[in-house]
Amino acid sequence: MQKEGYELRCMRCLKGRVTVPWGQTEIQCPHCGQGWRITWVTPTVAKIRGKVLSKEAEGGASSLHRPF
Amino acid sequence: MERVAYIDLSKREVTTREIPEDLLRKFLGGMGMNAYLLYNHCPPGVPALDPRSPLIFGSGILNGYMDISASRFQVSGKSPETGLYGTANAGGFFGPEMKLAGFQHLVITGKAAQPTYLWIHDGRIDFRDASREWGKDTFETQKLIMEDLADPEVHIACIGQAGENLVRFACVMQGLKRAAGRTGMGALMGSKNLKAIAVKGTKTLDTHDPTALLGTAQRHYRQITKSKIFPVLSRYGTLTIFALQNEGGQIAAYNNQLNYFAEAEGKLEDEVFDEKYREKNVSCFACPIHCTGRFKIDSGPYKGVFGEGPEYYYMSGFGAVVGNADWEVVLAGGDLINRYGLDVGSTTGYIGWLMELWQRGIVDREMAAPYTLEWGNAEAILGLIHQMAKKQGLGGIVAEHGVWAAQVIGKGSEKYLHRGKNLIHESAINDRAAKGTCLGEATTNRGFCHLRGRSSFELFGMPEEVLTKIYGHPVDPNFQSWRGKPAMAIWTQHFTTIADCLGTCKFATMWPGSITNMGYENFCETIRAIKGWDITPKELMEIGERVWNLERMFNVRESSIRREGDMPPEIFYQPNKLEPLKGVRMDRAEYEKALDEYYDLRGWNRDGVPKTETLERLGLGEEPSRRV
Repeated sequence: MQKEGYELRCMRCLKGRVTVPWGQTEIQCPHCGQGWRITWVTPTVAKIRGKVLSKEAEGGASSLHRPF
Repeated sequence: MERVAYIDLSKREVTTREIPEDLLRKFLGGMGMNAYLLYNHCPPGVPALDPRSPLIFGSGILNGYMDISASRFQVSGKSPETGLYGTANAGGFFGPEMKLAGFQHLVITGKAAQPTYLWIHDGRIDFRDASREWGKDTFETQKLIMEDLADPEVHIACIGQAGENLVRFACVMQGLKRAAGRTGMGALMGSKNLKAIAVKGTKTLDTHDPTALLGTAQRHYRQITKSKIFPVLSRYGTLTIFALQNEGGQIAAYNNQLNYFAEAEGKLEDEVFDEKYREKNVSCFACPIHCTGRFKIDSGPYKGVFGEGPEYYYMSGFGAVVGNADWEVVLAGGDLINRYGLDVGSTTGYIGWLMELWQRGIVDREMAAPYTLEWGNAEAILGLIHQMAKKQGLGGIVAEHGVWAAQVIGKGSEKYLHRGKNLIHESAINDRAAKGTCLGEATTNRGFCHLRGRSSFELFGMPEEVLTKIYGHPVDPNFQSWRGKPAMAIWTQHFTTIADCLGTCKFATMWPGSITNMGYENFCETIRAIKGWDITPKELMEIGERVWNLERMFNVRESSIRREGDMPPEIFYQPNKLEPLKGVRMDRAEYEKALDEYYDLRGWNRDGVPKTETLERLGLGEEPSRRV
């Protein structure tokens, strides 16, 4: 049976696999809701590039800067 | 027959000996035989930079044969950075060429009266003047030696100015980016006035069954190129690990203060490097993976910077660790350390440490002048590299040694210097959540090391039956669980040791987390074809254990560091601050309990010292045996 897409593991929750339909460049993890940008390394191999950029960054770097 | 050359730089004398076959089968080559030679030829208690302290080069036992990805050479000695077992390896072409030039190992002692390089070819070793190369960076040095020998096809392992200046974390470089990085083997080389070793292989190697070897190589080629990770590794190389670590909340941002580097999103990505800077990919000897990206910066303040790599460690070290999301600063920093011959792990670890000291007000403007050490400040990042290599300013203080620098700086600065076994912690690594991986890395003989201790399968959530099949006993698929992890850590340590004895790149093996890449059975196939030995996976695992124990015995002999050297850095006991894995930390009591189990399984006492019966079982009871 022909596969519907490429299977990836969500880097955030690692719960099961997420199927990326062929050629699709964004997905959302059905388990944790995290949105991911997708790179197609070859027409049949996908990888996660990073978080969907519209999501607000949750870093805490500003708290580390020198207080004076 | 595999040969060892003993090179006395003081007397300019060379003697050679063949390795008896039974000894070769006990330690193979590369890291294994290097460990044997070090234990036997390093006078107990000798200072690391003393002329009597040997510098040892080793080709893997598979190097030089047409086997897949067997390219790596090992450099070993007493570490000037830790005073313990020092070793590091690199790919490229040097290892196979050295074997084809007539030698599997070099044991170098003494100190040359003037800067010298060795020229190894046709079974000969010549001493040549390196006055012209001394003071030059690694790129220039290799170019000058190629001109001197009138041969652009020689392969050269050399040091830059950092090694000449005895920077404690100087490395040995080959080509544009191949670095035998950690534990300061470049300083050891510099202490001997040895600028470089040039090799060219013209000999042939005895092969027990050439037809079988060809068949084995073809099968292994198909096996590797059909693996799921091959298309990704062959395009992005190890850069692809960055997203995995960062998005999983396991990165060491801001000197391990944060476990996620938000600033990287959309900027510091392997795809950005691929789209903007990569010109093409190149490979090491006989490797189909070709994971190395050759790059050039065409415009902007870093116009003209070119090189090969960069690796995950550069991306994370010059990125997340120092709070920088500018790819060009990563590339410029990598270029500088490759030219000077500085280890990326220690260099970026020290920069991150100094920046945290600035953040906390421990390092002030006067101490840091002429730089301000704000996170991500490119001028400071690059300036500190220059200072370290030249032993000037604040960077020059850490070039002497981090612990000493912490004493000079004072004000509690040592608390933020993460280290183990005297070695500054691998800057890019935050494995406090992954229990077996952390244990495997922390108990490594050269100091915390992902290359010998990372159990990648642990992190991929594989079914327990798959893990049980790999490791030969039950292992919990949850990476935050301890069940089965001490045994898993030991399995990994022996597996990576065997890869380094063979000279095989770990990315062609199961190690990065690919069950279809090469494993013990594949290694046995190649060894049978080359040597005719009826070797089994069980025997290979025992060789891995033997080498591991001999390395440990070197540490026991040279240092009073025992159990405390097998603990993770203190920062790992603090909870992660960000999602995912927010709040997750290493529990000290749980770690201690697992360490006890690890020692018991190894047949060591609770101080981490091998018991007599363990050494006897592994055939190490008579060491040092001085058989070669």
